[in-house]
Amino acid sequence: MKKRLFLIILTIISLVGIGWKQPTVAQGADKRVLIVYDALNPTVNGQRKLAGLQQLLTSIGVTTQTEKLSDYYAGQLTTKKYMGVVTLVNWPQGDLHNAAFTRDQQTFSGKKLHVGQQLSQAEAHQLHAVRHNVYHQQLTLSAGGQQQLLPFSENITLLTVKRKAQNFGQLRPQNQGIGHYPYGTVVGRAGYLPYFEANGFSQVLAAQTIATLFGNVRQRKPLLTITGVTPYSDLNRLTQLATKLNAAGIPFAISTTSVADNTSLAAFSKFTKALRIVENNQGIIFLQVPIVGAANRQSGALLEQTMVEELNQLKQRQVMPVGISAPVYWNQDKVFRRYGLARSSNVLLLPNPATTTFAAQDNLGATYGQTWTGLSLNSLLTVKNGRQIAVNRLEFPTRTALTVPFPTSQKKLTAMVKRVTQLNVGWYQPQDHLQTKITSASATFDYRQGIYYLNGSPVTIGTEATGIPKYHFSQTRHVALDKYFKVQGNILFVFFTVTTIVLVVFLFLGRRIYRQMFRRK
Amino acid sequence: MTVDGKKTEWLNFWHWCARRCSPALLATILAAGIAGYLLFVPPFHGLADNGDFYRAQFVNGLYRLKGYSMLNYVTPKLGIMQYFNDTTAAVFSSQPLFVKLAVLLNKLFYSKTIFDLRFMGLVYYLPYLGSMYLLTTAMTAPYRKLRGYLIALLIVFVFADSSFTLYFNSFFAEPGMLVLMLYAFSALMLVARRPDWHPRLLTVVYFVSIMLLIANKQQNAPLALSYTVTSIGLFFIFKKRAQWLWILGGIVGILVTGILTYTLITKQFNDINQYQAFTHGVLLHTDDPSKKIAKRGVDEQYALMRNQDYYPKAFAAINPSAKSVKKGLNDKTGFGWIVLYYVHHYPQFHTLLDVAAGDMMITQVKAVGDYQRSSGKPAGAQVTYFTGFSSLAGAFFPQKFSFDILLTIALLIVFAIGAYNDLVHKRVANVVRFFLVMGLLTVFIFVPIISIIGDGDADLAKHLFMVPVSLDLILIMFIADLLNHRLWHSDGNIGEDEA
Repeated sequence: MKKRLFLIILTIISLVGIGWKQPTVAQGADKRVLIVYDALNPTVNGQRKLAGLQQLLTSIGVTTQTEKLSDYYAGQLTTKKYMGVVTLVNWPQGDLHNAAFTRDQQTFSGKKLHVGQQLSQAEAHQLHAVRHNVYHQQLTLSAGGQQQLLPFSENITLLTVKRKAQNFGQLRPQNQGIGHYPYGTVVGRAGYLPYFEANGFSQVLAAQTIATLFGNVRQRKPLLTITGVTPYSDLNRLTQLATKLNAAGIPFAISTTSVADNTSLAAFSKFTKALRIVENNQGIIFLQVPIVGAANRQSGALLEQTMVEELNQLKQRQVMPVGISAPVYWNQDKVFRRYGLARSSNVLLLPNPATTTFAAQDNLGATYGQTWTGLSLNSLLTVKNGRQIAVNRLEFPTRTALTVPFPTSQKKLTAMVKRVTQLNVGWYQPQDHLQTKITSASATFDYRQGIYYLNGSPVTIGTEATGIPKYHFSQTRHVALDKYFKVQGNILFVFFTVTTIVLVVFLFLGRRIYRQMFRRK
Repeated sequence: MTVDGKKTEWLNFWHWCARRCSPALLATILAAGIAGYLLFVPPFHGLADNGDFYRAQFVNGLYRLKGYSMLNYVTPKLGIMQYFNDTTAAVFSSQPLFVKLAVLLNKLFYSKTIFDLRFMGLVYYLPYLGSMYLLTTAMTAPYRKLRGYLIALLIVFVFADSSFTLYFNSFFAEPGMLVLMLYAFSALMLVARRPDWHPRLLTVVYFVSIMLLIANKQQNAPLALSYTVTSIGLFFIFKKRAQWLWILGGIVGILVTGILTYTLITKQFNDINQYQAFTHGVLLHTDDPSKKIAKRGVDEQYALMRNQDYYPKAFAAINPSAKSVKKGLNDKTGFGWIVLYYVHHYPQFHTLLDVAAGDMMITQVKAVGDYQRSSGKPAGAQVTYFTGFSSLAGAFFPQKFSFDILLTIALLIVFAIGAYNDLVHKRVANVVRFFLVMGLLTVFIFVPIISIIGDGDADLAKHLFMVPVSLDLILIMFIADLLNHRLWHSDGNIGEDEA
């Protein structure tokens, strides 16, 4: 009887537990935005466009789910599950359709964004707009007196919007006679971007469009971020860069990978010393996730181990990362999210590398406390008619990290510092605003008001590391019988040496005796 | 029946058996049974993909079906491509000859769409049996005494070891090397010992085997020099000038094959090997390499790459094929740099050679599984069936390179005496044998050195494959000749024996 009562109570508790937990789970799932794309179409860098959209949506705090058009099943798109839908068309020539999606998308009452070609009559109607097809044009994108040339386009659908529309930027074809059209358009719960690229001026305007549509616009200062630092980078150059930027009064972040092995070597001390100099020069550090050689569903434990060990080794030398940086695709992978990204409240998403190796791809993008979108600074700086974009006048509606690759030569370093200084941008000050937390096994890394905390206690960062445990370099593996075989090897060695010598001696002696036998006495 | 009567009966039975079954036939039958059971009786065994199989598969029109397993399990079936195959060979090799033959047989006898791995095994298995026959003949003929059968058993114990035969059911290049080596060795010894038995044909078999062997894998290119040494003996057998020309032609062929194989190593392979020679060699077995490499002009930060693979198995801080690594590391650490580094740090090199010495007799590929998934064995499980020799040799062979050098000297002295005696008595067999042994001993000594300089301890056991094969052949010959009393004189004491 007692046992039964206990069981009942246990059941009730667990039910309550589930019921209690459900809202948080459901909330995440509830608010997803479904991204439906027709094809990747690498000839127009379709994967990059898709990743760019995933990256932007994540940084405005929206969880996503990505689905290929052909994989979409009827009835999938409902307001119960999704707050919005983004249609990305990468391959208009393919003219791909899924009747179920077309139908569901039309009746769907959530937010809708169409990106790329093939805007349907019905979609245009929802935007209260009239479509205009423009062929073979080079378009100039302009906004707020700034402009940038877009790549030549075969075919583009532009809109003339009738009323109540919010517009972001203007597109002006070369052929002046054609007139000008809005770039980003938001009408009520619908939006349209005729063209999208994950970098350049158009990315900034697209970000404004998307942030407006999904209702999360806040003007933010960009964070200057140096990417591509590794333990193998020129560390003298890195420290120079840090001191120069600090001298110029520019706060910055670096995104660096680290190692989990060989940390007892002098090279690792040198690397962490350089990183402490970065920290002491108003630089913050994003720990970049490692590159993936091979991975599968079982890689979680190894990734956890690698990340924890990297953080552990860095922390022992007072290198305190304030966030994790990763390629966009990491956020679309269950294992990478869980063991790589989710440990940090501060995540920087960078463009994907040429090859993306997944462990358990699920196409479900999560959000983090703060998610930064990496945007190449160079992509904004193309010059047209002797003018370039004034980055200091741009409005970034999301957390944007303007990325600069780590300079590969002294000359490039000087040029880069000069250029960044000239831009005169009001950069984001991590020391004033940033609050982050990273958990790594038993340790927590906090960063508040420019102070680093390890497990809650403030950390002072000097030039030399303090409190590193002593290492023994020669790590010997102890295998059973190993010693025996070693001894045996030595004994055999001595035995054979002696035998060989004896053999040679006997040979000579024997030969002499043999010849003596035939010699006449 | 009296004791004598029993003895006579027994002797009669023995002669009856010996007449019908030569030692060579016995060895072949035993090897056929032992290896055949392992390779063909379901659930058959083999070696799982270590990640390199694609090179042999795609080029030859095979593709992986769903459920293809890497590392852990042997995958018994593959798909055969039905349409145009646009993959081109990543490397120049004679291995595709074997794979193409297997695919052809599969298409003729089994299926045009599904490839059964056992056809791959069959393509090596049949020539392998032939080589076992020849080898035993070379070691025992013309005797049919008890010791001949003991030698046959020894040959089976060594060369029918599962660590060798498992290779047959795989896309490794090694089984081809094993079989070709057995042919080359036996052919040469047969020419020397039975000059009246198809000498020309056997010489051709010898040269063709050696050339195919060298072309089988890039790492075999330097072996061309060793096999030039083994071929010298032929000049003693064939005495006519015109015949010398042919032999000279064969030797030139060997050298050209070696050079071709070497020069056709792709840039990518060079990069991989050079990188791993650094991370798996230069950086290993030393306390802190940071300062040492900095002294020799490489950024000390690269010390952190210790033990890294060119294709990272899981995660890495940087992609080794990145431009910056090429510029900062690969462009600086060429062959010459590595040799100079080891000259300056000899104790480290010696330790690495000891590692190689410890690895060389371990012929079973432990990194990959031997069973199929359906066998229910745990992932990566190893076969223990008929692995007596490889287990013994792997455990007891001394793990010291100095020992190897000493053994080489001892063996050279022994075989040199045999050669000297033959020269004095105007015989050739032991002279040929001496050059053969000398060539094989250069493999034994120099392959570990080349492997360490060329690729560090990465894949060491596989790079050393020819070392145990060469040494096993020498040891078998040593024991066989000792038993047959022809270690010192090639005519042995045959008359005495037959009496």
